Amino acid sequence: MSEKMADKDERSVRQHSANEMHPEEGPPDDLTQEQLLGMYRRMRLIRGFEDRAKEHFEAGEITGFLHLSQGQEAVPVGVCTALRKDDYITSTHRGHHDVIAKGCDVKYMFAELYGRANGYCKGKGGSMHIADFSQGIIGATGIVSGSLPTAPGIALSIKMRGTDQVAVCFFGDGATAEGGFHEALNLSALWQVPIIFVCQNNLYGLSHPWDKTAFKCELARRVSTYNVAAECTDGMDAVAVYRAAEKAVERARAGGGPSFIEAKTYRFLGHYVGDPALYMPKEEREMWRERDATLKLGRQLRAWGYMSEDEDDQMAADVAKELEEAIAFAKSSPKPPPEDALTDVYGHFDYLGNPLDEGGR
Amino acid sequence: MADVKHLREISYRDALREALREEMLRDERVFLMGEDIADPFGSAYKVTLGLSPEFGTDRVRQTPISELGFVGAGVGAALTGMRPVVELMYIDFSTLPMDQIANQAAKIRYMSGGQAQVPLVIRTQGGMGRSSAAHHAQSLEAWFVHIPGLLVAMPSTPYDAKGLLKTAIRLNDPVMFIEHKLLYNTEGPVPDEEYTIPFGVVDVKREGTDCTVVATSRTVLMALQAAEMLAQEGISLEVIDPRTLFPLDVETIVDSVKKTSRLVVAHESPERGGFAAEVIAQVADKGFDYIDAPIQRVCAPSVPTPFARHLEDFIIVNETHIADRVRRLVRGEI
Amino acid sequence: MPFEVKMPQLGLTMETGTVVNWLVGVGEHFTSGQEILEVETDKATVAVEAHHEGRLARVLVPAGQEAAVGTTLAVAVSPGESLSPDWGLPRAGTGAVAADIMPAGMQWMQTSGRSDAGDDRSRASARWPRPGALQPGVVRASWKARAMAHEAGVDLRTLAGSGAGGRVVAVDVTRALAAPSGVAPVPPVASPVAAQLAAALGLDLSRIVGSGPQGRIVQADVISAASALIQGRVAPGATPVSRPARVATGISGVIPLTGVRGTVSERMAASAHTTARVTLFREVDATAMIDLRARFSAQGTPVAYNDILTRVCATALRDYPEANARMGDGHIEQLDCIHIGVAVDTDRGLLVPVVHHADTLSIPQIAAESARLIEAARSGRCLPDDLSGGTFTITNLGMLGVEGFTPVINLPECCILGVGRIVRKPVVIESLSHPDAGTDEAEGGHPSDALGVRPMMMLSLACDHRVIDGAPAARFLEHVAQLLRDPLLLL
Repeated sequence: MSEKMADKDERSVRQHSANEMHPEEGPPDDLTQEQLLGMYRRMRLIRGFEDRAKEHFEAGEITGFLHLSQGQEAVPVGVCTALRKDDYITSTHRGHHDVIAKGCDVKYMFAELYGRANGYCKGKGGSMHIADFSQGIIGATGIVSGSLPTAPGIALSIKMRGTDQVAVCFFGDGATAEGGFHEALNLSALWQVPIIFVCQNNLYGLSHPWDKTAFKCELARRVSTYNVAAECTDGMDAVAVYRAAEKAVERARAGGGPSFIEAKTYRFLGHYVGDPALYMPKEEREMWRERDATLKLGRQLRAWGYMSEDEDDQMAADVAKELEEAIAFAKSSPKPPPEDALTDVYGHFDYLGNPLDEGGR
Repeated sequence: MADVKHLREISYRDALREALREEMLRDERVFLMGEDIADPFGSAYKVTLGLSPEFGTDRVRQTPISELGFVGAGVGAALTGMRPVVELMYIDFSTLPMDQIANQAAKIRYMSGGQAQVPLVIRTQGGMGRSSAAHHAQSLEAWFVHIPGLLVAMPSTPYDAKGLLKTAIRLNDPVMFIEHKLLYNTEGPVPDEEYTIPFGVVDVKREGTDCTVVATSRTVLMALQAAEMLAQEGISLEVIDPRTLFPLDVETIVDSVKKTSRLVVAHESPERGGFAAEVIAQVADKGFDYIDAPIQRVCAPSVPTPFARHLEDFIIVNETHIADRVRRLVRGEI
Repeated sequence: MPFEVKMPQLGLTMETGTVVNWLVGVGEHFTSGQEILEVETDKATVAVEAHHEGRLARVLVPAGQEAAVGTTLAVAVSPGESLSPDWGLPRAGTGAVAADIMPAGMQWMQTSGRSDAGDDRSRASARWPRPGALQPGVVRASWKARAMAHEAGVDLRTLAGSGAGGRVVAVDVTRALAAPSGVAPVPPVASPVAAQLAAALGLDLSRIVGSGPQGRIVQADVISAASALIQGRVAPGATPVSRPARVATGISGVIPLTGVRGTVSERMAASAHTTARVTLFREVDATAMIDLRARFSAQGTPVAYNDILTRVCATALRDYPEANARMGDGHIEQLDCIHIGVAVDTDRGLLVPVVHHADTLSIPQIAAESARLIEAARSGRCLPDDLSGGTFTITNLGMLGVEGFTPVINLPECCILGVGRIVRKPVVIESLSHPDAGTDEAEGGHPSDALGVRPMMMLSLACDHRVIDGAPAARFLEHVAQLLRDPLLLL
């Protein structure tokens, strides 16, 4: 077991918003056992995926950059539990947890990280650009705030087409300093489109701390001045995130316009694999480790009687097996032929500008 | 333009408006976004005037001054089933949404392994001649030609403008559609009938035998005037308008050079790193054995556009510059 | 190892020379065989080539200075080397800097920084060829001209360029291919200083004859070409002697070397320089020829002597095709047609209209054609075809009283027949009844020989020994003489 098991002591659990559950309370009545177990498994899958990815990256098998999300899995899992398959999400360079939460299969995720032909992007996107349009995953982007201007357009498209889909835009605290963040909020409010902005505030934009990014800022308060319904929630509590998301989704589907959720969370590792993260103080890291959302949900599930210890262990084993098989699948998958580097630039032309046959890509 | 029954003389502006209107009628997914595009203002150069009363302000969606925001929204809408045509009032402002153009629109199809398409048209205009100074007079087509994933069109006549814009809207790839501020009032024959112009086909606007001039946008008109001047002197100039800078039909240009053995490439944007260099590199490779004299560029000097009218006139490529260079080339002085 | 560049012995009597120009600067690299300086002797200015590859390290005799043969003019180093700062200086004692321990580049910089080294720093930095001068071995030609020349197997170096800067362009190749009998003018090779001077004076190098090695145009040639246009001067430094004061020679008129004059001038020079000319003289009895002409005249179809000569030569060339050949590019071309040019003096100059397929025409036909050609030539209305394509030339100065001469071969032909005046001369008339008549044995004379008066005409056949040897040329000439003596053989 390579999962780092934190201390089971719950003294350090901090309450951050009214949405959080106390363990003494019974199970939530707005989520079924099946849903909760699904959320828990998905969070473990994400955590396991990130740990495995790190391991294989450090072994030299995965190339490029890897921006991992251990510690943040509750946020997308909570949000995506409130979404349908045909809803859209956009993600970021640190997006594995977002896309797995939305429904990506770890087999094709690993295949993509290993640059294989049957990866989600045929090996052409990589970690920072994973997309699965069939599940509404419009894609991660390597540019901080890159999808912020795009997402309102997705929501506008929904509104113009007259469906009740919603668009969720995941981003971090660092992106809120970019101009596109503000333009996106403004246009979304102007157009009253069904979008949910979810800021995963992990307190760092690379090495730059949040309190030096924005002056004495409470994001929800700042955003509310754009006349976008804004809320702050505990990103280390999947149920709390779910509840905030559910409200926003209902608002959106009902034509009530955009919402904003700030989810306070933390990444346990540095910005990228290889970053020693000297800028993250040890005490701070330890404090947030104690608030590990996945472990917490596990504890809660056992406390609510939704899951036994054996079932917990069994689930751990299942997840581990799924991940092992996914890696084996990726490693045995064919690499795309080198000429694939030249395809998929245009729909109607090849990369040199010669017309392609109709239907050719 | 063969077998055309009804031709009307209309302006470049009207031709563009007709294209937008026809495509919006044809496909309800087509909608417009941009600054000041709704009536009564009808956009900075009046191209969209009259469209919002017909199609409503949802489909002719006027935006605040948020280039990054509304170009990005165009990308998002294009990714999810719509066919937006976004207007950037001046190409000089394209620096603001550049991430959405170059990193997102141009690359999402590729990065997603072909899962997505971005049928987005960004209409904009550039060019000198209105004393509009350095921030309102650029021609930045070279930047966009350089980015894999973008298509670039630069029409010089009303006929080309309408045909190319209709095609651009129907294509499933992002198009930078670059108009010219001094061309909006020019007039030319445009058929009544429905037509489109494919991308990747140059137009030989005048046939000749002594020298080939390839020119873009308004410089095409300068080249045609130069051809008239030179014809009086017995020099026969062939004028080629690429119309789409990418895809570029270089084969037709090479065929022309086979005939004339001399090439001049002219454009209004600054010489250094400009589009002429791309054309010349391709022709020097594919047409090597046909070239009898050093290939020439006639472009603006590599300076920002000055304000004073006479200073601006000094750097605008005009028919005299082109004629003079061709003359010296044909006489063997170069 | 550093090596020395010394004043070369450029002529048996040379004792001193003047450095005119250093062609490489200090620090500049040169290859073996590259011209590195120009030296003027009392005869000419000559470019001196390097014997080894190297880099010029120090100039000891700068431009403008005289030095005796054998004097060290400069020091050069092999590639990768440097010159120690105390090279050439008398060895000092322990105070001398052991310069060898310094890095090579720094040493050079030190050396060239010294003002007494005589180097020209501005030239050291001018690494690219100066305008007008190309790197050795580079032919200035357009891409299209290169392709056309390659296709046609034409050597670009043999073509003169009409493009900018003397660039060979497509039309130059076309011309060279379309007019095979036209001389492809050899591009004039000129020393850089001669080229620069010619450019400065506005003179066309292709009109200047070179006196340097291999016809190279040197500075003195440019100056003498220019002296036709400027006032002569007493040579500076001439030793004053007690002689009557010389009046400077003035110019009373100028004839530019353009048009026909220019072409003739250029072609004659080229012919003189390239052909190995041998002239064979043969006197013939013109009686039969005169008689033939009278008969045609009486018949109402007057012909000229040149027309008869044309027909005679054409017939002779059929039997002796080696005189109907021409010099190609590295080979001799035997030609399958006979086109005879006849030199015509016009008020625009010397033109040579050509009677094509002269061997297929009767003498009256030749007469009609040549009359037309002469009329066209004199009135300036010759077509290009009229003046080109010849394979043999006849030039007749008889009407001007010339008896014999050594005509210049009309390149690329290999033979030209000069015709002199018909002179009534006393000759020995061989007795035809004698058994040895007309044979070599008759040389010694026979008692029945008689003295008579005959109209004699000298034929001067100049031929290019590169293409045709003396004996075959003589045999051809003999055949011509035979036909002239006995025109019935023409039938």
